[in-house]
Amino acid sequence: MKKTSVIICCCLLALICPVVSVSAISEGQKNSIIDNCEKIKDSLKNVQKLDSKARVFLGSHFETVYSKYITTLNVRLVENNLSKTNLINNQSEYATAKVTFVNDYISYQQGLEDLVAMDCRAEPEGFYNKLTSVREKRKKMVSDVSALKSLASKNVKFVTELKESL
Amino acid sequence: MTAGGRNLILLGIGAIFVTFLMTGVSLAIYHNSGDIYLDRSRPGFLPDEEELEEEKTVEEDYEFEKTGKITKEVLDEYLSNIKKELETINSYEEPFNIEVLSNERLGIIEER
Repeated sequence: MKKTSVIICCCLLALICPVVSVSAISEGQKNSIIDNCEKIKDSLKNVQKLDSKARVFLGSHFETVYSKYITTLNVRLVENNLSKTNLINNQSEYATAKVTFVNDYISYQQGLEDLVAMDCRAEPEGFYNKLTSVREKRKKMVSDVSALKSLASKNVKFVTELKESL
Repeated sequence: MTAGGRNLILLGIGAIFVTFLMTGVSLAIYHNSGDIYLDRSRPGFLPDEEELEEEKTVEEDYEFEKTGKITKEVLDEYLSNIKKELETINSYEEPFNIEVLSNERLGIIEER
């Protein structure tokens, strides 16, 4: 009986909690969103377009670095019995980072698309909360790009060391 | 109406239904897989004229061979070309700049 009542209380709390959650948006911000709804959405659509351009540009170059350089070099090193653990690990980490970049981009764009589709006049608070979530996803994209650049630079460093050792 | 005529109509309706079903499934996969966000042939996402001009002037791609001896010269060539690739990547100014979604840039003012 006690267990049942605890479970029922938890379920009720789970239902009530979203309703009493505190909004982080001020009255001024809410009015801004309502008044500038269309202008904000146009800005977001422009961001979508720019991000698509960035994704294609960066994605193709990151892929080139992986397939034409990193992977190919490791294959050739194996053939020459010069295979290096650090270069193989670098290839593996780069491949993982590339997948993370793609998946995070898809998640970010899905969030952005949902944001553009929202009625900011009817739900300014919901719109702002969604915008906050999309901002976090965008920050993740910045760190993903940075990670890939860092791994590519590491590859350059390892290959330079290999060259010195020959 | 003959049995043959009725069957023909049923076949037609069935074919149309299957077409709609398959189209719906394809669009769902296209959307959910994220390919839609990579598709620059969508209206509003077409490449700009300057991008098309850049594509036309790209030099012939360097190919690092999968086979062959590894020498210092080979690695020098590899390093020279991969560094060019990294320079190209770094030349893209502030990708996914977080300022673009800031309150100020979107016009969401704090107080009125």
